[in-house]
Amino acid sequence: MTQTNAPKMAAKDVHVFYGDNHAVKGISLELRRNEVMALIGPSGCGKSTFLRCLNRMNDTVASCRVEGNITLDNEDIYAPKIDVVQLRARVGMVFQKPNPFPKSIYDNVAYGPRIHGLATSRTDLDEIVATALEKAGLWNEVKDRLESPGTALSGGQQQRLCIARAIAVNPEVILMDEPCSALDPIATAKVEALIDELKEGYAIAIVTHSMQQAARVSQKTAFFHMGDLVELGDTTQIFTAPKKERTRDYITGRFG
Amino acid sequence: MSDNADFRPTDWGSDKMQARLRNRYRKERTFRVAGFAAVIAAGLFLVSLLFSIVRDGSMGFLQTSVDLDVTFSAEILGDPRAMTPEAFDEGVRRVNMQRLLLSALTDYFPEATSRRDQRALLKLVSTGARDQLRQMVLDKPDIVGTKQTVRLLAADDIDQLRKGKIDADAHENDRKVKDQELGWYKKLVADDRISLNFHTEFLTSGDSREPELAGIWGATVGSALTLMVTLLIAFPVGVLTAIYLEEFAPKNRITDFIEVNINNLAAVPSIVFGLLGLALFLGVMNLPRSAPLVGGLTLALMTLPTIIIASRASIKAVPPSIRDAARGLGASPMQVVFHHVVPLAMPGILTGTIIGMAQALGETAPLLMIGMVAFIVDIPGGVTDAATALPVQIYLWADSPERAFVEKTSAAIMVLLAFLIAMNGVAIWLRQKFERHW
Amino acid sequence: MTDHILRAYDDELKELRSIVSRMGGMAEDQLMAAMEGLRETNVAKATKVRNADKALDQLELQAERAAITMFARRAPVADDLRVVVAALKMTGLIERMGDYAKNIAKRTCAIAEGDPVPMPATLDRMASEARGMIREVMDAYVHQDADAAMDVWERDENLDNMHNAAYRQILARMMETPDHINTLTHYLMIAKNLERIGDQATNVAEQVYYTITGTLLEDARPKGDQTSTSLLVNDED
Repeated sequence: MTQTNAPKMAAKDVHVFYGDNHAVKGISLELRRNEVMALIGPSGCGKSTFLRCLNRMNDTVASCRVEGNITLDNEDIYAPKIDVVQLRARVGMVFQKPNPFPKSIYDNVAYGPRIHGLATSRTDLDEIVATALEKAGLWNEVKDRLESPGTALSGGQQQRLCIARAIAVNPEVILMDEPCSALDPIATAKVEALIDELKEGYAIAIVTHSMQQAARVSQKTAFFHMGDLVELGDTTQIFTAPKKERTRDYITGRFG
Repeated sequence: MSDNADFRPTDWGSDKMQARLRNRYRKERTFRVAGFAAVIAAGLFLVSLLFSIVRDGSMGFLQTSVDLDVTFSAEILGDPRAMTPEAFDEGVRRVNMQRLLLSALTDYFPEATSRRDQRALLKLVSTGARDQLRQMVLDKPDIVGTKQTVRLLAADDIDQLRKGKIDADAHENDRKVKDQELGWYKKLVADDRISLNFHTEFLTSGDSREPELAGIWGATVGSALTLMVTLLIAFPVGVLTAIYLEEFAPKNRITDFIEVNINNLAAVPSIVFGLLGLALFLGVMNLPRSAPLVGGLTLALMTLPTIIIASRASIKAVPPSIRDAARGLGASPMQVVFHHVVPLAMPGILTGTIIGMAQALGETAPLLMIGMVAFIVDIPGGVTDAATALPVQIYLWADSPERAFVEKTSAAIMVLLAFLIAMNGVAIWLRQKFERHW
Repeated sequence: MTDHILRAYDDELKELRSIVSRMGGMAEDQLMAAMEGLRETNVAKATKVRNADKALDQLELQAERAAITMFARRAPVADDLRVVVAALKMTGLIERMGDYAKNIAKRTCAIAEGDPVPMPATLDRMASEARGMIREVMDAYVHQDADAAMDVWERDENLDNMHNAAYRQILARMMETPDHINTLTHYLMIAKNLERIGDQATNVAEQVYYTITGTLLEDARPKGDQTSTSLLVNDED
């Protein structure tokens, strides 16, 4: 790990309201490269909501209001001059259910670069697609059938395709919202291995309901409960000796 | 644990349980039988409907002809070799072709000498026979001075007689064809001069007061033009409205109000749209009466709610995960909609559109209001020409007193159904094309 | 501490802890019985101790199986993880204590065959000190008392000092009465065994402390044992 690992994204005292519902209450945390941040907590604890604030996916929800300060490279992402579309290209997202477009594998990966004009020629685009698929560890499995539909792949392959699609637009941060909850253990292991490799290039935050997954893939773990960030620490510390009773009760399965 | 005592297996073999089981089986059986009966009943209705239409209508595509030996006398027509082609044509256009017909008929029936008999003779053939002869001479001036056996359209009464719709055995006073005509008819039959042929003109000509001359093509073209206008207006407007309401409009009272109104509009009787068309397009905008343009606009108003509702439903059915995926990659709201949502919703939108168009095709009431019910002989050449539409034509013929129009009505219904099937076929083809393309 | 949502998990953890406590009690009993046999040079009592060690081995195996099952089925984390890991190590340590007691009993049988030589009184004091350590550390474990565990951990120095004294005493007697050197060597080894039991108790204390606090104690424990570096000649000075 580098000595000076400045935070890529930083949230300071972030509050999120859905109408009158105070869903996220003053969260502060930092995402860095080389460091996967796992967000854990019971359903409805605000972890997904918080994650979706980081690339402003909540903007489309009319009743949603975000307060506090979130920065990407020290720039406020909620500032008026920030273009949401560009922000989302810089802060990519992978969702719970694999959601490839009903298009070919190639078009799935090429879609992002196309709409952002990242490729100047067809060869350029081919290269971007191949690189993204390689990084996602999917290249060898699909290189002979790039034109077949992405929806025809297995669940695990679909999820890696979605990761490849996110990588193709060259993001700086990748947000993952329970990326393995619909996958079998082998596919889960492959995605986790991928996350572990990707952390060198990207700052990664992953929401997961699986304690074991958080323990396996992350370096830092944040435990959310009822909108509060109860505890944030090194994953090893959280999983061997949590400081807060609520954290311990949750990860050991004592919540009543 | 002491709780284990509570885990006692249900006695599935008890009489009560067996009775329940029998009851359930009986209900399931009854339901299946009822469902099957419903399908059979619906099928029977459809089959009997189609059967009666085809039985009546198939005759409408056939027409009785009379073969007559016509002498194209140069005295009456003029000699093409003795004058310029223009002068000859001019002369032929003016000539009363009835004279040719009459001489041919009296040659064949020499016993008819009185003026009364001769008038009756002329009623054996259609009034269209004169134009038929004139066209022959114009097409081939060489024919003048020769004697040709010409197949002429029979009058509608003779046609009905041939088709067995008029009972030859009935008392003279009870039938339209009198004994004298019946005798002539029998002579023609004996000489094998009466024949029943496929009536091409029915599919290619416009309306007429004479059943044997009336054709469906004018109404078909009128319907096609009207529907084209309807489609061009209703489809883009409807789909864009649906997209806007579903994807972009803020959810507030105004949009709720609009939504309720669209749903209500779908239930408004079609005649109301006719009144609106009459007031707005004819009254305010002074568009031409009876024109497919106005008919199309009016039907577009009527079809819009259907298309909007169907489009909104299929846009709503596009999984939100696809929207999230595109948004997460940095697609703008417009890109999300037009790259992903609309293509995926397209099959559903097309289905809704075709339902709306089929409804529009079969609609009569609003067209009556804007004057598309007029008697129009010419085939419309554009959307501003006066025209009628297939359902209106059916309505008009069903209203006509001549016996021969009954079969024409059914035949026109068959054409309407064929039009509908063709339209649905195109829609299904389009839908499959979109689905294959994802 | 609140219960787990899964009651069977609680039962398993409780069972594991009870095995550990039971082993602690048995090790203490074994030590006392072995010392009694030694004091009276009673071969029958010593043999009984030697045979009883098997029960301790059996319990250790049982604890090991329970711990492995829990790792496989419950994937314990946090406090639960510490309980299971510590239990696994503690049972090993306690089993070793039992082995030392058994060794004392074995040596008692050997001593009984030779001329009677009085037992050095220091051994008795060492045994009761070691027993006290075992008892206190097991109490700390049962009552989840980190401070008490820490006390035991620091107390090991006493036993080390006693051992140094016993070592010198026995060596002196060896020189005085070379005829008894055989029996005295056994006493020397018994003193060493008692000192080792104390060491194991400190190790157990470390595990108890870890179970409760989650902190691993650094290996900077106060050491009083100088016997490995001392020579008789120097001691005589």
